[in-house]
Amino acid sequence: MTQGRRVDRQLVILVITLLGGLLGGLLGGSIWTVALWQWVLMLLGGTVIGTGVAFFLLTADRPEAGRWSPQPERPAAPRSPEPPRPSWPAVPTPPASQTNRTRPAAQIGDRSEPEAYPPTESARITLPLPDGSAPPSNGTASRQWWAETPSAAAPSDRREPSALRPGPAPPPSSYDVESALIAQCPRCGEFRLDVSHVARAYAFRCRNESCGNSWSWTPGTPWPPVVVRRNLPGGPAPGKAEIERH
Amino acid sequence: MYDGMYRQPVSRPDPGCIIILLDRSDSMKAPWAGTGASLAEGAALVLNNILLDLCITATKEVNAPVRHYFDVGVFGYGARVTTPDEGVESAFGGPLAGRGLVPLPELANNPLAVREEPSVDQMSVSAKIPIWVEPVRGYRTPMCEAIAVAGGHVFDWADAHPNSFPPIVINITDGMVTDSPYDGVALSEWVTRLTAIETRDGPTLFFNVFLSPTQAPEIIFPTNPAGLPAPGPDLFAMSSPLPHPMVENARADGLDVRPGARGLAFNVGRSTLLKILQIGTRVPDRSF
Amino acid sequence: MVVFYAPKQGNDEREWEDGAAGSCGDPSTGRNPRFAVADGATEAFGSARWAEQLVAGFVGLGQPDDCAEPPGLRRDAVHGWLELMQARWHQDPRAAGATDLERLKLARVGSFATLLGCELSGLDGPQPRWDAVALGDTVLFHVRNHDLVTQFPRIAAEEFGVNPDGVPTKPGGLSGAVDRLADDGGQLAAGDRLYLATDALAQWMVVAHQRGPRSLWNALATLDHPAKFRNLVADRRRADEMKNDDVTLMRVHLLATQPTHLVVCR
Repeated sequence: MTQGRRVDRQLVILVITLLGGLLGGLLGGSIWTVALWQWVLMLLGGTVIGTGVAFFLLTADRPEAGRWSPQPERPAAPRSPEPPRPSWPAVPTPPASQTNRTRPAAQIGDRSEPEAYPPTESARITLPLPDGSAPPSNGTASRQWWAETPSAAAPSDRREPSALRPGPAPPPSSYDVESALIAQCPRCGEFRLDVSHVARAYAFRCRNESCGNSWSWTPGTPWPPVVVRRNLPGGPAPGKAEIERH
Repeated sequence: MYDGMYRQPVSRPDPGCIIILLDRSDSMKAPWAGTGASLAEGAALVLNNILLDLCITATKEVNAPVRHYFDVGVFGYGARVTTPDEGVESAFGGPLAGRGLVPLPELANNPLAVREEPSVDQMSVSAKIPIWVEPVRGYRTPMCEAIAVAGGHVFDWADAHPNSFPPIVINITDGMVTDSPYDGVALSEWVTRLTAIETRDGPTLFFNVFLSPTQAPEIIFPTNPAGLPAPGPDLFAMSSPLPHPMVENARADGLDVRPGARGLAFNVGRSTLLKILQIGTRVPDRSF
Repeated sequence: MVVFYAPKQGNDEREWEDGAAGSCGDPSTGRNPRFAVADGATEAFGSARWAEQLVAGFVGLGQPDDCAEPPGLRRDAVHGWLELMQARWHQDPRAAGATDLERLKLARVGSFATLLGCELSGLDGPQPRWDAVALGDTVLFHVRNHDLVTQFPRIAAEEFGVNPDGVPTKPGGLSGAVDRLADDGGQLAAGDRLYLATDALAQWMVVAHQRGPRSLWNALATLDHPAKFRNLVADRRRADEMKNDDVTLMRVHLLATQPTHLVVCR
């Protein structure tokens, strides 16, 4: 579980426990006949103690199931997004909070952004993947609802891919990079990709102007074979201006 | 001697400069022993081959432009073609006629002609190759004026390319200078002026190749002038010591090059001339 | 698997002349995972094309009409496969429109590339392993728990770039090259990483490993964006620790479970 989601969960549990403690105190006051000050004391004490115990029990660290032992070494400290380094050419880095929340995720064919290579380090989407063993079930805390097909829509091969709304995407520093799959165009090795959902699969389009390859990938299956090709025909070859610059 | 110098690789951001000074005096009409052609024809053949070598080195891929690794100039001294008298002029013909230093991509795209030429070493068959320089001979040997003309181009080039490998000037001659002093300055002083022009990587290199019509023993990259017939000792004194990359090139080609060797080749044959020019123009290329 | 790459500083993106290809295998055909990296010689002709042809062919991603199956890793099998690669090179239709100058270069110089190819086998069994062949100074590093298990070929830092072996396009030089083909292999475990690197990067990795192995292997294991890789390379070039040359780093990570995240760079 990622750090961001854990904090949200803890907050919810704490509020619920606080309310539960309060309710318990009120019930107690209604069962036993006590003086007002005793009732208030009972209410407050029960709330505080109950909340404290619940907080301790529910938020202690537990090892996650299914991880290979020994644990791979994690980065020593949470990293805040680094200031962008000069790149070819320099591009402004959007604040991390904006990257996936306020802007609709790019769909295939979205060319509104200026192309720049290489992209800055914080320009990425990090998507949690299903474990691949079974379709996600409703009602569990790990349900990935954005990957599900709405029950009202009939399955169709001609259905338009839904726009990607990854919800509260974790900041790049918070996922385990050592168990991440980094997407790369199979035809040319490009990293700048457009991505969207089709059912349980992802649809990609390469943003290399000389490539434009499209493919899909389903979590749980191997990534397609990759050949890195940086001089595909069709794009502008280094022309006179480039020669003079170099 | 050259600690820390002559290490800059040629590249597109920092191209190199190669200038050939070609003797066009009347004595170049003499037959070049064993070649069936004159010294002038043989020198032009070798020059066209070395220019082609440079273009080939800078060719990387089908449909990719020739890379701008060098600016190249060839200046003939003696007979002139543009006006019927003695002097110094660019030896390029055709579209490049009259041009001083020409970027390599432009040189590659603008030969004077493409025609069948004999092979330099006469061991392989003739081939169709581009031609940039034609044999010319007449008049005397205004070597000082040639260095004075080249020096102007070298100065401007070094000023524009402070980080490049230093300019390489190679003088090909068969005789004695006839215009020293020129403008009141002796030949040795003109050479001093030329080699005083430098980039951050070192001073301009000045090499000399002496052609002989007879099959005399070749003397390549000597370490002292002893035993050199005239004008060998004077040419030795004017020749820059070989920098390390060229020493390595020469040794890789099987030549015995000793410490302190000068960039002088004496009494060379036609195929040796090509080898000398190849050694003298092959500079560090790790950053191509 | 992920491949990071960067051209020589001062060169265009399209002028990167290494080669890299990888396939995670196809259980339906029994084809094992294969990975290959090559380094095209700068002074040669069409180096990028030659390097690409070699790596794509090694992992089984050659041209559709290519009759050359990916080679076995025995010397004779590699020799036969390279002969087919040379023949295909000389029939490349892209060279049909070459200028006279380009034809001359092709005839006189041809092309040349180092090559390292690796195959994984037995991943579903009790003894998974890697096997590799190499010509030249492209290097494989087998790393476990941020510690180096094997470097193949074993090249000292000062030995890089000194007349490296490689695969020529001219048929005459092939037999001698294949005689110098190196091979090696090793046992794998879940969590292991294999790094395949071309010479400029490999040389730096050899030195960096001697200075601080955990720091190096942790840094490489956590590369998750091409800009991070390029910043690393740019920093090391500025510090004069890495030669200015095309660089390529392929990372193969053996996960015990499916990946938990997909990283899509924008």
